[in-house]
Amino acid sequence: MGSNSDSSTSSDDSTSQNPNPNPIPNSASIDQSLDAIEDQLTSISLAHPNDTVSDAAASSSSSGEEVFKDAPNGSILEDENHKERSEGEIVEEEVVGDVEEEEEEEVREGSLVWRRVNSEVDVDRPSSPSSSGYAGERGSSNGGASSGSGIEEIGEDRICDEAGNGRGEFFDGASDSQAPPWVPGKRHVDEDDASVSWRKRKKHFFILSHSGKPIYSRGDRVKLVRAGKHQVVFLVKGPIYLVCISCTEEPYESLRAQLELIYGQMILILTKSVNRCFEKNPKFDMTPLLGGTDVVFSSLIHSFSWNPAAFLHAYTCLPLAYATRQAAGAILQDVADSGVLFAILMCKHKVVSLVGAQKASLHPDDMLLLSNFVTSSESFRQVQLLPYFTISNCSKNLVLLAACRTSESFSPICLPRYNPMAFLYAYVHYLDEFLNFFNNPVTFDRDFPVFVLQVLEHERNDMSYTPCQVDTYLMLLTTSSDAFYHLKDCRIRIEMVLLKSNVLTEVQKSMVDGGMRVEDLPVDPSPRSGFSSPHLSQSTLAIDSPDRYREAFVGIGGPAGLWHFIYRSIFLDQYVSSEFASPIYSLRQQKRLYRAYEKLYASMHDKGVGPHKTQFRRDENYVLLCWVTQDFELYAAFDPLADKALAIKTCNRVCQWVKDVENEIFLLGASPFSW
Amino acid sequence: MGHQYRGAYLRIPMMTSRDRVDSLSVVALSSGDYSLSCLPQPEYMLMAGLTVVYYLSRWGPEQALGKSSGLSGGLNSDNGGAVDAKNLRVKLVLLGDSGVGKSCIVLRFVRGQFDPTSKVTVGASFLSQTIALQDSTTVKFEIWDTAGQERYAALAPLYYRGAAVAVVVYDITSPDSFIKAQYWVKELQKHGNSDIVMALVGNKADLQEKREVPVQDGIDYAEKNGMFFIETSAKTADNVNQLFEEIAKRLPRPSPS
Repeated sequence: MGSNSDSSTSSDDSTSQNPNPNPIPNSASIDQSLDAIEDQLTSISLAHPNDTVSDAAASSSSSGEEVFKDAPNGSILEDENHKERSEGEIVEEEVVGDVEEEEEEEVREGSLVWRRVNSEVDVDRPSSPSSSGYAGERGSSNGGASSGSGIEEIGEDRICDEAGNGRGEFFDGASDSQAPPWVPGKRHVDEDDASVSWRKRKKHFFILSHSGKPIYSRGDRVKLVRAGKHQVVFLVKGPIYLVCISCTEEPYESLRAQLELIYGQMILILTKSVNRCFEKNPKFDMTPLLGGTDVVFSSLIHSFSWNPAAFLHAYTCLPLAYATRQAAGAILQDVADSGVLFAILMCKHKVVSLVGAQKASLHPDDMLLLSNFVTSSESFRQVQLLPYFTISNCSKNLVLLAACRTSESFSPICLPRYNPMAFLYAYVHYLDEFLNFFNNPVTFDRDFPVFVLQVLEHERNDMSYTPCQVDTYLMLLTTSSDAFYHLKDCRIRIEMVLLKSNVLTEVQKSMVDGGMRVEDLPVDPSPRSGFSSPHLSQSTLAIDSPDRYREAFVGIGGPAGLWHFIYRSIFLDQYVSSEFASPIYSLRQQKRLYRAYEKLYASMHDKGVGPHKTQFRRDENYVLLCWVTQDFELYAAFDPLADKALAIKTCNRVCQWVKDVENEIFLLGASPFSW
Repeated sequence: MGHQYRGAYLRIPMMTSRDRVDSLSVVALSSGDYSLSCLPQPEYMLMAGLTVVYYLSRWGPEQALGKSSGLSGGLNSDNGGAVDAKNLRVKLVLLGDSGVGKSCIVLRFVRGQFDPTSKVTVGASFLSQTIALQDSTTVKFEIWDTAGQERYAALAPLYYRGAAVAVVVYDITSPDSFIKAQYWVKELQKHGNSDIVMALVGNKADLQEKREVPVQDGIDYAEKNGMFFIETSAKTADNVNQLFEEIAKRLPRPSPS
């Protein structure tokens, strides 16, 4: 089901862009150049001696980008970049090496200024603080880049709601005082459109009702407006209008998909029957109905810059031993057979196990929205700062974690992909960490109970690293509104089994251990041979010896300069992403890589895609390699100086590696995918 | 007595009543090799003790030990009534406008804590707390703390259906919330249990200087509708325990047949 919907979504996208095929490719190329400026300092700090960027710091930048039709599986990649150049200021340069095609874009300061001047969004809404708000945007993002202070992070993630009467009411304000689930320092209390921080945001989302119809009342055909650096993307869903104004240069498809998700989140809270309110009263004010959910939306928007599930339309699993996940799956299955529609055990945004009743399948987008809803709503967890003891003896520092017992919740929710019209009822319970302590052995004396608490051993230095959050939660979904006590019983059964089979301890361990690391990529047993790297021959890093990557890239990423990868199994609707490692350390860099992947994904799913497709793209930030087959998609980021042949080889090894450990990183056998 | 797990274990006296829990201040370590140290903040020690005890009292030994089938009686029925004459179990629902402090009252009652950062309740939260009365009966409250948002109003019957007690809360600084409270009272009179015990609670009593709903208004309205009335402050804990104790006293006792 999931894949079907995916493909239909993408075909929707392609039809919708037919009237105007140009903007999307443009966005890709423009983004390269704008990124180039932001990223110069980073590139320089990486100290690649002959980096073409080094002279660009003054007033211009150039980004070398090569796009290959790739050989390994003999597919032909129609290169859209030809079309992309129809607009914009492009200067071609030769890059040393066997570049089949390289594309150089130079963005001069002048053109940037010009763009800035033109970046006033031509929105003729009467109350359009947004358009003026964007003028200063460019400067701020540059400042963020050059100072490396991460100012850019501020420029993110706002949601505004303007409902019914066309009067804007911003979702933030009071909600900002709530503890946000992410970097707390970056949120702004009492921010509104008059605030500097609001104006600095790179992306704004609006939800409007059609009675407040602004410019796009000209017709539903307007899907995208481009004003200089800014894109305005529209999505019309009956009486609900969703607008994104962005200068992040994300592809149109990505922004549209984000609007779809925001709409889906709204449906999850209200169901589609909210439309009826508008039918009865076109001036219906939806704002009170969404009361208290601002944090849900801002968390979702935040996930658009870190959670690959948002653009991959796939979910990810917490790595666990096969037997452990099986044990969890077995008890969930047991429960599902007793009238529970979906039983889902998750840890943060990662799935531990998931089971659906017969023929019920859960779309990955629904999972994203559901887990976002649950994790962002503090009321589900109701956990005070968790107290913990340290028990120490002379040699070791033993840390004992403790947590408060969390409450149980029962709430109506709607899964937009499952049935947008109807509520399901969700029993949500965070499994408190106490369960981890009450593993065997536990003794209990009736008169004087003694609980033996499990003591976790940690290095002294890990003290602050000790997870102090309750992150594992169980969601039981049912169609029956009076099933609470049944679900509560189910939960108790599940908890008991999880306890006995040590699942929660393993979950905890996996959270600490993390997932796949590029530096752990198994060495290819076959001899490395036959590669030469003429186009990198000038690089001091390129030592032409079989062992060169080991010497050259030691300390930065994995073999052959592999920095990061995402592997998406098409059949399973699941992806696995490697842990971020040096040099992708900072949030800023992670976000930039996220955007690069996002763009790569969009370009790969753009139009009629053949069964096999590869893309090799080099700019001054990365080498990005994408490989799409019928079974999987692989996205990999390498050092910008990585050798192409070696990178391809490494990707093959990554795929092999993923297949070798698929028992542990994927949820197998319980795929929600249905034929 | 007891196994040792990696050399250390905690010995915690079983506590059942709230008063004794509050007095617990020492968590003893029974292994001589270890010392309890390095608490992030000293008061957490007490909190952790409380937490453990709550865990014990709420789960009971069988469940915590995993000996229970998980389906033993007591938890899986939807009746709001009593278990026996000595040990009552009642379903209680809190209703009221959003932001009046329903969750704060519950948290004050159940955990003895106050969290000034408001967390919007989603749907409804289910918590339970047992209190012991002077006549040595115990009352276990199974509390439905409902969300005050408009979108959940239509779902309220889900939570108040079968409830033995309804606590309707308003904020003494907000006349709107008082009007909303009256709406809930009417709704309960129409659709609730006929013998439901209703309490009208004016919360945020600590904000006297911002008061906009006179005490007398609350008293009068409660009297007219046969309700028990009290003003509370979840922040200062004023009258919170009293609220639940008063409710417990007013519960119809099952005839000892």
